[in-house]
Amino acid sequence: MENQMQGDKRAAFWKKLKICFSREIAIEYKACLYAFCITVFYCAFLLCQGIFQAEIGHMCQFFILAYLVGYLQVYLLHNFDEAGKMGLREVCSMLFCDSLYTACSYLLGWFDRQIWVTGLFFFYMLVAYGCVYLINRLKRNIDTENLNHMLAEYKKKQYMTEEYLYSAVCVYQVDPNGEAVKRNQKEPQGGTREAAKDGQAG
Amino acid sequence: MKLTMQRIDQGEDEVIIRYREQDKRIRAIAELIRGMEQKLCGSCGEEKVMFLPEEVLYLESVDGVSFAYLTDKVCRMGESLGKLADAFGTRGYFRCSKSMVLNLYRIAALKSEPGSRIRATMENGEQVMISRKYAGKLREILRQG
Repeated sequence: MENQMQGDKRAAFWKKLKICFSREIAIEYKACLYAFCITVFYCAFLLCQGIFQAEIGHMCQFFILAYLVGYLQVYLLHNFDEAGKMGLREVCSMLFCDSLYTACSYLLGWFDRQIWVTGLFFFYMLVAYGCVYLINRLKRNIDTENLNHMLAEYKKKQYMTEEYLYSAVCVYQVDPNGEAVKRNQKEPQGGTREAAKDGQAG
Repeated sequence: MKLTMQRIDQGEDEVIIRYREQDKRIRAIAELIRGMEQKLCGSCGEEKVMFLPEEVLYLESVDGVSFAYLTDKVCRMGESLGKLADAFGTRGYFRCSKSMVLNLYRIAALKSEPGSRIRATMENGEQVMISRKYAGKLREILRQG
């Protein structure tokens, strides 16, 4: 009894650990994706000024911030960029995260505290979030189509098996005189599921 | 392959399969006949009901008791969910959660949901959410056919 309880506790612990691990992986992916988006904007900002060198300190800040916001997204904001539909809650979450990035970009001086560049960055990140949401949705739509196609094929196989069996035979029936009489192949007796339900199988 | 059917006045219906080699087709015929005979027994209120496994939309376990959901009724089953899922796994029964078994042939549509889950809409309009763990298994079954 005690061993069983310990076993159950161990199983519950491993299950929780797996869930945490899975969420951690999702956060890593998000951190990389959004840090990359910020890096692209940052590089474009520097290139526009004719600067071909980036600050490593800033790049580290991109990744750390993206990682922290990723935690926020997954644990507190219901993973809004992977949501089924974009409702009020998701829009507010998006605006909140975007504001966080924008505020940090201004405070940490990523864009030399230029207001208009910071404002542009805000809209850029909003578009980035929108694109990620749409891409995830598109991915799910494609997956849905694929799933339904596989389901249709799976169902078809069962009916094809039954039809194949009945089309492969020549149907004869022995009449009361003991003579074999060939029946019409297009009308097999008791071969369908409905016929089986009605008790006509035989 | 020749099929001979003989009407009898008395005695039990019987199917005799004569074969030289038990190939895939012979096995499929035997499975088909065996399947037609196999019925499930459940209780619908006071009434005992017999029905084919194919008639079941899904099975659900509530407080350790299994219920079979058909198109027009719900029957209480004597067997456990796991036993039914194992017995009819080849007939389209798929365990989609700890307390539910779906009949894949009675699913009207599938929809991919966030978090790698799948929403299954049954023929009677009911929607069942398949968790990530079981969604992977479902994909494998559908892929293998």
